[in-house]
Amino acid sequence: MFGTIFDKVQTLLSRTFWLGNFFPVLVFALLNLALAWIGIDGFSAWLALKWPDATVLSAVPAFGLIAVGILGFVLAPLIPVFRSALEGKILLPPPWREQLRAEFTAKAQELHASVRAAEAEFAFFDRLTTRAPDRFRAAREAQGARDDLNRATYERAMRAVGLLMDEVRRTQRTYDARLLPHDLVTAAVEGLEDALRQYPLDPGPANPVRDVAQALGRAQGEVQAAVRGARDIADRTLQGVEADFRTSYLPTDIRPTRMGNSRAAMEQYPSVAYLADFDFLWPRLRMVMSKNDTIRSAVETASAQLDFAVLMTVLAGATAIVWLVVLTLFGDSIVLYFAVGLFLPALTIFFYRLVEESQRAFGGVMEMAVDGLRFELLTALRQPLPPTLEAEQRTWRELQIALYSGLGVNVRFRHPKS
Amino acid sequence: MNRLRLLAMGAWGLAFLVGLLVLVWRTISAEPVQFARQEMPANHFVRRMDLSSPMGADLFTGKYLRRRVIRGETLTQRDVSPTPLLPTDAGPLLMMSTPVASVGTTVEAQKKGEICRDADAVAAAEAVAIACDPPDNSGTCHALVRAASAADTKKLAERLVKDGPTTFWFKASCK
Repeated sequence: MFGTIFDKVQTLLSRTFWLGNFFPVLVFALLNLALAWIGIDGFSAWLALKWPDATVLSAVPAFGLIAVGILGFVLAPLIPVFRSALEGKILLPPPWREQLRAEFTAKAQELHASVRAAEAEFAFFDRLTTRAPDRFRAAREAQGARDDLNRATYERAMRAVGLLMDEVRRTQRTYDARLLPHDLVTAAVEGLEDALRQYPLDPGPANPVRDVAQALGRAQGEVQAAVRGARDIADRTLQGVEADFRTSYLPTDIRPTRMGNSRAAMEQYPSVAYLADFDFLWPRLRMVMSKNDTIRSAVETASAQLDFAVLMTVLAGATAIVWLVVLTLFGDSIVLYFAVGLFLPALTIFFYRLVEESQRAFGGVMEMAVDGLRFELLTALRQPLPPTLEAEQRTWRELQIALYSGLGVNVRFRHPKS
Repeated sequence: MNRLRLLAMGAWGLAFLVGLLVLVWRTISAEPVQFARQEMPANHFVRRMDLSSPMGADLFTGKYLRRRVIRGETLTQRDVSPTPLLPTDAGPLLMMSTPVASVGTTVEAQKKGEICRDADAVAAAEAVAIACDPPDNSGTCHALVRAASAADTKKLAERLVKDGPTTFWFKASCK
């Protein structure tokens, strides 16, 4: 019978509630019960004294689950408040907030400098990938210097290429491939260019420097491949740091916690891409979310995961603080005290990290939802579908101004023909 | 690691250490407390299974309850006595073996029973107090019993001397 009731209730409540509210409360209700059972002397005896009747005792889990459900409902509207606290918007004393903001500003600048450095690296290797073959070709085709067959130029080139290839073998064939030093690459390219200028491209069989020309041909291929490889690594590095910066910070709105910054970075996406504020677009997207089950399901899951992580963080922190005091005053187990004092803070930190990662995942899903449903929303708002991105940005901007300020002179509706 | 994170960790560490000191001090200086796992009469011979926690149980086991306690009730050292508390007009009493497994259940202080020789009931009697050595189910137990009258008790004492004390047992029922 209880299973039937559970199934009925399950159909009434959303996945977001079960995952994001009910389960965290259930987990911590059980954890608190276990702590009371183990840590408070006489708690179990008191329970047995309170409910000695087996019939009453068997109904306790059912009532407990109902209580957990009610508590989950009560906590659901507070999740945005908890999130604000984790983002550092509330509860944090202003001097601390400013200090944290200063620290995150420095970190953002550091990451931005990494982006700039990665851009410079990519530009260097990208330029070299294009120019090195041209320079080698020009050197081979250069006139007037081919009677100088001094081997010193060749040997210098081969030495520089050898050093470069040693570095390639040392740094680029590992999992965390590193970029080649510029001086080695430049020396190899310039040395090879000098040597190619002196030796023929395709020496005939009677050519006394045939072996030299062949070696230079091989070296040219190796250097060009090394430069291409370095360009690919530089590209990957640049993509990585750019994505890291884009999803971690909004330079014009640095907040006091990592989660807050991640949130700010996430919220900037629609305003950058479509000139529509997140707060304007996101609530309205819910109107059309039911039209795409894939997006709706992804948004629900990401939202539930974020709520789950936020609630778990808050409950773990609260449980740690409360039980440290309770066990100090009423407990008798030093082992349990150590377990609570060390394990629960670690659990809180773990869930806070989970919040940050869920926040990033939610950001990705949000981008998908905005990209995938914005035209549906425009249609739902009785707006004509724009032919270009620029026209779309103008539409969103005008619509936002119209709905927020009432200045809607530029907004024209297109109603469907009935 | 930023300063605020260090500050938060330091504050938690300090609270943890202060709490630990308080807990250790409480544990050392606290009066040992146990909770009754079942209802027990006065002069009940306390064994480990009667108590809520094995921690500090040794201070209670092998002693006698000074009063009746109900299930879940708190027990302190003031509630137990090293000897049973007998009335001054107790009259003649007999000491005889009693089955270890029955102690605390069918054989209990202030409970009626029978003095048995094999499967035969010799006389009706009441347990005044029980004692086990060691105070758990691993050794032997004896019951201090009182027969229906002082004269019966004396007669039984004579039979015990004549036939040997090991032939008689105090049980809830001889059958």
